[in-house]
Amino acid sequence: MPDFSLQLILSKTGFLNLTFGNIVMIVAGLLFIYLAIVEKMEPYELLPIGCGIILANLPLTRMMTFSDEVQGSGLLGVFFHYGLYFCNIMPPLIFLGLGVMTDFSPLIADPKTLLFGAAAQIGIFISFWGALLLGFTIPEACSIGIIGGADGPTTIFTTTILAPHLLGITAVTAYSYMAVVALIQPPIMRLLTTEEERKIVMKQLRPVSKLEKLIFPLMGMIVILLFVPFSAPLIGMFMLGNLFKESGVVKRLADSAENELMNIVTIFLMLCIGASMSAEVFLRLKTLYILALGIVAFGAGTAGGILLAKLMNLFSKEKVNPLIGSAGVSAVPMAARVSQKLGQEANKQNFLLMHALGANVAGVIGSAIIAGIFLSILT
Amino acid sequence: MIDWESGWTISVVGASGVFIILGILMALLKIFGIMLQRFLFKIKIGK
Repeated sequence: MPDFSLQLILSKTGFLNLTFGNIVMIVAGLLFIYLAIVEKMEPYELLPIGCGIILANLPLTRMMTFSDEVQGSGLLGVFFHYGLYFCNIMPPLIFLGLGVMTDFSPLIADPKTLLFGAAAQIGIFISFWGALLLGFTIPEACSIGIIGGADGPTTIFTTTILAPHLLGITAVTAYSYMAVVALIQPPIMRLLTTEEERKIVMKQLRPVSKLEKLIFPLMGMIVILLFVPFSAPLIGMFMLGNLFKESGVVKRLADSAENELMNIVTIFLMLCIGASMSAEVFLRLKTLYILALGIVAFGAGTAGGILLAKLMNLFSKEKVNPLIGSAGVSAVPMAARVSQKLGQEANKQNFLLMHALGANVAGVIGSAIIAGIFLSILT
Repeated sequence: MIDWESGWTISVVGASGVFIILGILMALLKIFGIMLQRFLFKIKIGK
């Protein structure tokens, strides 16, 4: 006969198994949910991440368990194992949807914005070295550095392969800082530019033909993947998604990739990310290091883009407003909006948004290239 | 202990790699853009 003693029943509830660490993490999860709902900070990411943190830290829920035994795995454990840890398919699927949502026109009309996307990646390498100096291993340092790419799926993709134990904290750091990019970037942008530079008016971009929009994703995919084949899951899906949109002949595929597929993957990816943040993993000194290195990466990336623009102005007849350089850190489209806002503050006639979007998209490509380079060297 | 050699390799290859690749893409876009504009201009003149 089964034992129905009160002691046994209580031992199977969460109350007797709740630790102080669990409580701290549940409060952290609630904070993320608050930020998503009340402050509207990256709600599509932070809301499921917050719920994932709570689910994983409520004792005995076994949501993140993975086992070969019949009925031995938790819901999120299955998604985490097959979607990330074992196959790593969820970040590329997000990139497919992002490709559909991306417009390459500003980048095609002003190709030099590609260089801002490269320069702003300097933050990755600064935080990479910071992580090495703080005692992280090289794969861990690469995963921490890639936070500076300000691109959530790229951070998740890289960390899952190189340092899966850091997945939760690197992803959450990337998304959290992306949400507050409007607070991080302006002081750095004001510090590194003069009033005169911020007033520089850039000429309107030329119209881009459909042929150019069709050729760019194919050309970009072939060129980049010939150099860095390990970027294929990200760059390949990104360019494919864009080709879906620009071709105009597969509207249903484009719609599905942009809406249904991306939304479904976002739900489970973010829940898994949140659920990977258990108290044992999160409540450590290294977490504070990663948070600090993340903000250093964002700041250095912002500075890198601006300084390249200033350097270009020394040699070029057609002046570039250095504010668009900061948008090279990705964080689409918030970083571009920050450039636009600061440009308008300095000069009401300034419309930098389209130029900054070019740098923004270049930043997405740049961080995916660096992720591929890290993987090709380390795996 | 810090693995300086691997760190430098990753940094140099990564930083220069992203500039080279995006630089090549930029050059291709510029060449392609110029060619296309001339081509379209010729078509317009022809019309």
